[in-house]
Amino acid sequence: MNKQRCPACGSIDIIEEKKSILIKEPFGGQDNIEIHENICSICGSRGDFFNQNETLIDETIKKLKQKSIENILNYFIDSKMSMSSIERALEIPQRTLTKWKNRTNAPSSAGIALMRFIKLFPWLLEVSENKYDYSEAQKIHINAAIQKLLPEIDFCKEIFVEAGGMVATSGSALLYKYYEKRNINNQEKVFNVVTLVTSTE
Amino acid sequence: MSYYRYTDFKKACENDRDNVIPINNVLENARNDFNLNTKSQLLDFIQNDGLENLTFINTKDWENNPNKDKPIKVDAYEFTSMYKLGYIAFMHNDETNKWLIKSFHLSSNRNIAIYFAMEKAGLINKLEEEHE
Repeated sequence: MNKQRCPACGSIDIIEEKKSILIKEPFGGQDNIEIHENICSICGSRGDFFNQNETLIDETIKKLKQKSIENILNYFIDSKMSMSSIERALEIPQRTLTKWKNRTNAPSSAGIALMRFIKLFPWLLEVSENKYDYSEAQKIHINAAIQKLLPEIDFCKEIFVEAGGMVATSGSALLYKYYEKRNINNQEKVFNVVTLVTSTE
Repeated sequence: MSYYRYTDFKKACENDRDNVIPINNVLENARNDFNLNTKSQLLDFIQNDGLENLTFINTKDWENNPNKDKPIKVDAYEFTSMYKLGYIAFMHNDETNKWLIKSFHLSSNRNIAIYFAMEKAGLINKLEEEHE
């Protein structure tokens, strides 16, 4: 006897449809998969009532995560970052990354998360090189932020309206500047840029 | 006061997983809003006390219940998880003996509510004191 019933209302009037869903993984791309969807004709509830999709979704995510690791490691190689130096800086066993790339070993979820952070914020490697010292880490972080901001700022003084200030403590100083950019017709424009500078020397 | 005991729901997420069914957009929202990609991950999260600062909101009758003579109650809660404020609603059908997770998504009450919840949990002070 078919005992398939709607878990919400108990009706046996269930139809099954196929539905396409998009699974995305950061740095791993995306994959379109077809899953089962049960729909109750009586109460309108819908979903995977009989747990048919779990394995497919799991496997797709695993595949994309592996792709994500390979893409990240290829990016490191293309950027001339040696895997052995990354392993040394992070204090993970030598050849770990190669084994991940070659699919000899599968990275753990923590390993994948770590690689994603390093891909987004390569300066974290420098933090690790400095033994996670808090004040060094702050300097590295802010320096990285400034390097990111500087190319965005037009230092041609004539077209700037400028305001600024400084907050200082005994060990550090924080300078901030506020710019209102003007466009080529010398009209005030909507761009506002804030620059942060710090020094603990 | 809630209609169901939350601990019963949590226990089912731990020990009786076949009888806990996410319906409608629950899995899609869990994936998009909370990085919980599968039913297993969602139930793991619930049974592992992932719903922090759980606050009961209300109990309502399930609107789509075709059997109006036997009302089914839906309990709704808000919760926090890291910097997110979430909303969960679930119900139990005694006839099918299934727990249904009816909603699981970000709460529309963002920002101020989460701040108060985190403050209540001492998280705001903790974060501020950590690097002093």
